[in-house]
Parts: sequence; structure tokens; C-alpha cells
Amino acid sequence: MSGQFKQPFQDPKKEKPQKPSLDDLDTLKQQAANTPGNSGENFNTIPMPTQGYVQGKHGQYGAPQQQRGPSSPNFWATGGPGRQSGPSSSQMGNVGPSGAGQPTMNRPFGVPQTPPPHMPPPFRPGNNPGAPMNMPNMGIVQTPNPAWGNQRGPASTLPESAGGLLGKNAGKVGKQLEKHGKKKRRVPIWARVLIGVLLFVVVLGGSGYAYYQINFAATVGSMTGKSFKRVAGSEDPNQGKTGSILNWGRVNILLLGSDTDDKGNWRGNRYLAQTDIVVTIDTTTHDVGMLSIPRDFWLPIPGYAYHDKLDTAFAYGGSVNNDMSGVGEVVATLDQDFGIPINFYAWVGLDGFTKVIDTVGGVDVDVMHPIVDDTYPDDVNNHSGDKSAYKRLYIPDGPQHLDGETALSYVRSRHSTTDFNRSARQQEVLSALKLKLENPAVLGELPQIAKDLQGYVYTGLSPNQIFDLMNFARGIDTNKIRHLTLGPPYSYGKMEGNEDVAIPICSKIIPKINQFLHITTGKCDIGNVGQSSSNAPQLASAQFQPAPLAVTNAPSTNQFADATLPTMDSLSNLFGVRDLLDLMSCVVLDSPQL
Amino acid sequence: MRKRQRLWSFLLVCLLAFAVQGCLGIGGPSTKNVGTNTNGKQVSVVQDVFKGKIYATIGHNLYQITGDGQSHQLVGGGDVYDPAVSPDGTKIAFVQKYKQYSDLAYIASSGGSVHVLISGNGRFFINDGGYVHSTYHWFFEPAWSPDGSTLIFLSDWMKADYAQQCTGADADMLDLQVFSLQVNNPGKPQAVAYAEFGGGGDRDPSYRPGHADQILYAHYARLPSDDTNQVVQLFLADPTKIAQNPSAYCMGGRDSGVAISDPKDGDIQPTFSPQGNTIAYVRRDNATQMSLYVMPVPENVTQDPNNTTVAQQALQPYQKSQHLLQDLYIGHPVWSPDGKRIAYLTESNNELDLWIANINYNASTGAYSVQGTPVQVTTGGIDGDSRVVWTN
Repeated sequence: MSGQFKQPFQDPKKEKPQKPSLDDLDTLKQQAANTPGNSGENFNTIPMPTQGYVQGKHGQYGAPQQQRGPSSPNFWATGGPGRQSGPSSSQMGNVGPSGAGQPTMNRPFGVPQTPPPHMPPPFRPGNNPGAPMNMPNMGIVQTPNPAWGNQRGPASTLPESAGGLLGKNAGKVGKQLEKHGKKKRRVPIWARVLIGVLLFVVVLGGSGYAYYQINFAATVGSMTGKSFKRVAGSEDPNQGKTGSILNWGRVNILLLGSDTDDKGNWRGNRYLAQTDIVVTIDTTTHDVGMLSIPRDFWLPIPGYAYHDKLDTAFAYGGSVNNDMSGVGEVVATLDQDFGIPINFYAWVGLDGFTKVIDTVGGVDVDVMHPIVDDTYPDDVNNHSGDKSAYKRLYIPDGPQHLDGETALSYVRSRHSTTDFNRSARQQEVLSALKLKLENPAVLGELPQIAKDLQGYVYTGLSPNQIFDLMNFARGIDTNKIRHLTLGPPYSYGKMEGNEDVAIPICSKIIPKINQFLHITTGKCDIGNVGQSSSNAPQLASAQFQPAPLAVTNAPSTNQFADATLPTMDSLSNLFGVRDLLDLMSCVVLDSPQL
Repeated sequence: MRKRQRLWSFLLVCLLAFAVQGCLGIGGPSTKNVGTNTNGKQVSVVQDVFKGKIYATIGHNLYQITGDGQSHQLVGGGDVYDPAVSPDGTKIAFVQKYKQYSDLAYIASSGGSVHVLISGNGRFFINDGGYVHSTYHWFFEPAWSPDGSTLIFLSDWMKADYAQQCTGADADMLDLQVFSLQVNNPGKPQAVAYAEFGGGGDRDPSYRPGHADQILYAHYARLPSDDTNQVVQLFLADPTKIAQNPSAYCMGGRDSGVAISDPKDGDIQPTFSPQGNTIAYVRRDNATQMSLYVMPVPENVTQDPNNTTVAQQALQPYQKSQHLLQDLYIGHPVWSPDGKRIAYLTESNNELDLWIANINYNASTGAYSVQGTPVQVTTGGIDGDSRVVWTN
């Protein structure tokens, strides 16, 4: 008998079940008698166990079903065995002692789902040796049921009157029930698929949300949406603007970059902003321009009664905690001195670049040009205490594995090659970094990358705004990005005390600012710095030909966006880390001062 | 029916076993750990895929790599670059690189103490104009003469001897040039091949086997018509030319070498075959592809490098270049001692590792080709800037 039980995969259409011998039958009966729900008799005539809960209301029809074994009181809650191996309802008149199919047959007759307290213990696969989970061939014709596991719900909709019919003619009723059940019990395929998909989405989304909250939310949140206090008298161009930043029209974003190695600190504990770039973006016309303002511009700093270099404005308003309170001073300086409205800012610390590359395990690049430099600033990982020291640089040509510090050296070095080659080097490293970020293994490093960026990237933009802008940037034609640096002929050098400073030539700067930023508020209120448009040294004007608003090949926001568009972009951006990397690289690589 | 089921079950189990074996890497080629690279990863050598000894740096420590489980570290310290084994196999020259300078040194192949031939140690100073200069020097990429008496190498040894005479530039000559040094009597380095000022310098110098009067190197320069674009060409030179006639050539400008490759191709890292009649080199096809080529060696072109007819003649063999293989990265190719295989660096699993390709040469047609599929020799990633040497 047991052998018969262990033939679950026999096809009844092709092979008849072996008829047990008399000895086998004895054994079988004995085994069946020991099986809960079985009495040891013929499966079709085995008396039903006492007081199966299906009897409670409609005792007449209980017999055939009770032969199928005990039911789990918690079946509906647990999705018990009946979900998996219950025989088709077409055999309900001949069903054997299978606990598996029990609930299916109990439910149609409106039997209360709560069993009486004397219910036999619930069926569990494995605790019923005589009735394994998949026992489709227990003397019945087994028909594969593609919808098993889903019969329970709709079954409860069957009319109660079916119970009486069943008691008189179980087989007939069974067929009717089968017919009925087929029509009404099953959840439609599309619904099942829909439920499955929804469940998957909910689980995935929930997991992703939990993962984001645990690993990124605090980190990304600390770097983005970091507002600054505007200095009195400095207008806020964002007032009254809501909705997507892409609907704001023209937006000016101030990119600030600082050497964060302490070498360039102002008065020991505040960062200078050595990079000052205004990125102007018109999301309507898709016009993008990058206006680089020399760090050495000698300007009045709002709120202070004297002139100083532009790069100190960030330090004037800043704090020792680098809480971005210095941004307001830079914004006020640009606004009140040049009439440049600033909507948002992004600040980047140089050390973040090297940390990110180290976190991804370095980058592989083909060094296109051997690099030798005798006076490279020794400002990264310099523990000597002399932050103004130099070091000699040597990077051989050919395929190399570069760590963060070497990669930074490779893109920064100016002393051995031309700037054109430098741009190519920058693109090489960015492409290599893109490849690294495409590597699925790096996804696991995203939390660490986010931490690497922490303290080295801050912006007033929200994650959604960054995401919108980066997507916008990817649709920009690189060749149409305008670049303008307000160096000569728009300024000239001068010694102010013992400092080399740059003096703006107002007559040339004002129209350029208006033209470049598409504003009419451009001005040059730089006070008395010993010059004006009329008294600027003629040499400076004559020596340099006015540069047009040239389209250059310098790396740009868009170029980096192009270079870092990976196939897993959206996945990375789910956490906002990729966008922050883009932002950081924009500042690092577009910085003319590095 | 049952038999069939059992058969299918058996086959299924076998299939599953193979899958598990594949996933776990069980049953593949055996490997032996040799060292740790700069990323902290364990580097292993695949056994029984090559014969002889390969010298390379891992984590900038010098290793002797073998396919018989005998790989070991020769020099540690994490500052070793560019090993070169003498023709008789008794010495290994290499470079020890420090933060500001490097030393050119050698050890006996059997091990022992390090002998520094010349040190690049120096200091920073500020000149009269207030500009920072240094007396530090670099030494890199040594290569032995056929008789083992001389080393040629790259250096900025004469950087303070401004290239003004040829270029008018008032600045140090930082680009590395080719110099030579007598191993038994080092003294001062002798200029062997000059670099172009600001062009990028010379790279990968080596003597032609059996020809002490010919050296091969890659030469970085700027395109004459476009000062912002670089060109890289392979050059042959007589290493005695500058010493014999110093005034005929000048640093930063007129070179003693002759170009043997097309300037429009970015050919780098040339290496002679053991017989000295073929050159393998790497070409940068584009930003994402590099190729390995071989070409015949131009004959009799080093004696009169500035002769235009000779210059044209020197470029002819390049037209017979044959493509061997292509990959994302290919670096530092080196021939096996029997000339039938080429080892090179390429990327796999985001690491630069050593691979070997079997080279088939058809003597009747003169055609080279790669036989079969290249095999991986190391895993985990060796130094990408490691020059590679393969000896018996």
C-alpha cells in the first residue's frame, strides 16, 4: 500500500495503478488505520472520523468529504496543504483520505470556517505518513489541476442548497460542483498575475525604501536641500517659484569648489572657494552657459568695509564647521557687485573625488600621455604638516590601475602637457569611473560612496531637482554649451599689498554678463579699486583680444553627464548618489583653478 | 517508463553537478597564490599554462612567476618598478621609486643584496626668478645591452640643461629621454636618444637582440601642424650616435633616431622578438580598443637617421604589420624565449592580469597569427605599469 502511495507521478491514462495483493491490503489497512482521518477501510467507504467540523451544519453530506482526512482549523489562514495537493473536485465522489483536498470540499456548503474545539490536529506535510502532500493516485483518478491552491476563495460562494443534493447523490453533485467551481472558484489568470505583480512591486518597493532609509536617506539628506541664509539686501530669485525646476525658466546655479586639505584654508580653519562658476540654464530654450569668475577678483564683500579676493567671501561668511553659511556671502557678493542672481548653489570639496575612486577600488585607464611634473602640489594625503609642499609626479603611459590620488594627479597636472590633453585625460578618468559604477559589484559600495561624499558635497538643490537637472543635462548638445571666463581681457592683474589680485574691467564685464546670463541687471559696483573702465591699464586691453562667447571643448556638465550614463543609471540614481557624483565632478573638472 | 525516468533523473543530476561545479569553479585549472596587489587582493598564478619564468611586479614588489608552483617574491618594499633580466640571466635590474625620485639598481637573480647603480635623490630649491626647481631625478625602464655590460633607461637626468638651444624654451626638460650607463662603472649617464620638449618623452627602450648598435623605443611628440595633438611613433636609433657627435643632435629637438611607424597611429610599447627580427607593439585603435601587432625590423636605417631616403626606407616594413589580437586594454607585450608565445597585460574582471597568446608563424608566407584562444596566467590583478620579462 505504501508503495502505491509513493507513485505520485504516474500518469493514470497511461499506466494503471498496481492492484495490491492481499498481504499488501492488510498492510495498507493497518497503515491507513494509523493515519489520522483514516479508518483503515476502503478509501471509498471508510467511515468518517467523528465530528469533523464539516458535519456541524449539514451532517448528511459529510461522509464523502470526511473520508479525505482531517482539516486544518487554520487552513485559510495558513494556506494549508489543500492549496497544494488537493485533488480536483471532479473526483469528489471518489475521494480518498487526503487531508489535502479536505478544505476544498468543506467550503462549498457554507460551513463555518471556525472549527469546533475538538477538531483533530491540523494536517501537516510530514506528520501524516500515510498521506503525503502529493498523493494524487490514491485509488482515484487524478487530474492535474492548474489552479490548485486557488480553489478556496470562490468556493464559499456556492449555494447552501448544494449540501442536500450532495447527501443524496454525491457524485452528481460533485460534477455540478465541479462545473460550478470551475466557473466561479478560480481567480482569473489576469487577476492572479496582477496580484503577483502588485505584491512584487510592494515588496520590492518596501525593501528599496527600507534600504534607502537605512543606507542613504540621512546621508543624501545631509548633502542636499541644504539652504543658506541670504545676506540682507540680497534678493531671493526663487521667491514665488514652485513646481519642477524645469518649469522655472532660467536658473543660475553657483558652483563652488574648495581644496579641503587645509592647505588653502583661510585663517586656519575656514575653506576658501577657489572655484566660482555660475552655470546658467534655460530649461525652455535648452541654453546652458558656464561663467567662470576668477577667484582673485578684488571686490567689496557685502557687510564688510573693505575689499578682498572673491575666494575669501566664502570664508568670511563661513564657519569652522563648514555648514555652508559662507554661501550667502558669495551669493551676496555676486548679486550686489555684479547683479548676478543666484538660485541655487553646489559646493564640492576636492578630497571627495579621491575618496570615491578609492571606494570603487580605483579605475583602469590607458594613460594616453606619460605624465611628469616636478612641482605638483603635494596637497593630498600629505601628513608632513607642510601643506604648501610640492611633489614630483610620474605616471607612465599605457593601461594603468589608478587609485584616487593618482587619478586626481592625472587629471589635474598642468605642467607637462597642454590643457587640450588635460581635457582628454579628464574624460578618460570619467569614462573609467563610469565603467566602474556600471559594475554590479559596485552597487554594494553605494552606501560607502554616499558616505565618501558626505562632507565634500553640499547643495541647496533637492534630490528631485538634481535628478531633473541631470536628466535635462543629458539632453543638451555639448557643443552648444557656452563658456566664458572673466579673466583677461575682462580683467587685469595687479598687486594689492603683497597679493596678486585681478581687477575687473567694468566696461567689458557688464555687457558680457548681461549677454551671457540673459539679464538686464548686470552691474559692476566694485567701489574704488583704483580703476574703472576708463582708467584700466591700456596694456591690458590692448594685449588681449576680446574672446567671443566661445564654444570650447572644455569638459562641461553635459559632457560628464554623457560620460557617466550607465545602463544601471536609474538604479544608482534611486539613491541619488550618481547625481551627486555628477555634481561633484562638474565642479572638480570644470574648475579652471585646479 | 521507470527506467526512462531514472535515466532522465540521472542525467538531470549530472547536469546539476556540472552546473554547481562551474559555479564554484571546482575542477578548473589549479592556481597558486603568490602575493597581494595594491588593492589588497590576492594574486594567483594559473599553473601549467606556460614554461619558464616570468618577472613582474605585484603591489610593486618584484616576483618571479612560474607555472610549476615555485612562484616567489624576489624584492619587497612596495617600491619596485620595471624589472629587466640580463642576457646571461644572472642579474635583474630594476627601479626603486620613492616619492620624489627613483634609484636604478640590480640584484643577482639568485637573490641577495640590492646594488644601487645611480640614485635620483636631490632637493627642491627656488631659483633667482622665484621659481621652484629640484635636483631630484627619475630613472625608469632599464634594458640590458646584448653583452650585459650596459643598461639603457629613461631619465630626466639632463633636465636642468635647458633645451633653449634647440627650442628656445626657458624651462626644465622634464620629459624622459633615453640614457645609458655602464653597469660595472656607472659614472654619469650618457644621452642616447633625445625627447621633444613638452612632447611626452621616450618610452620602453630596448636593445635589439644581437645588435648592440640598435635600440628601439616609442617617441611621444606633438603633431607639427597642430601643437595640441600628440603623436606616438616607434623609433630605431644607434645608441652611440649622440656620444660620437654631440653637436649633431640636441635635447628637446633634433633626435638621433629614425621613425619606423606611421605618426597617425598611436603605437606604443614595442618589444623585440628573441631573434631580433620581429617587433611586437601595441596600437591604440580608439578610446575603447587596443590591438597587438607584429612587424618586421627595418634594416640599416640607424646610421643616417636624418637622410630623407633612409627615413622613407625605415617606414616600409611598417606596411607589413600584422594584426594579432584586440582587446579593451593591451599592455607590455613580451615574447617567450622561443618566440612562439606572447605574454601581455589585459583586463578581465576589472583587473589587469597577465595573459598568453600562442603565436603561429608560417615561414613560407611570413604570416603571424594567434593560435587558439589566449589563456590567463594571473588572477587578482598585477601592476598595470609593470614591465614584464620572460626567460627560460
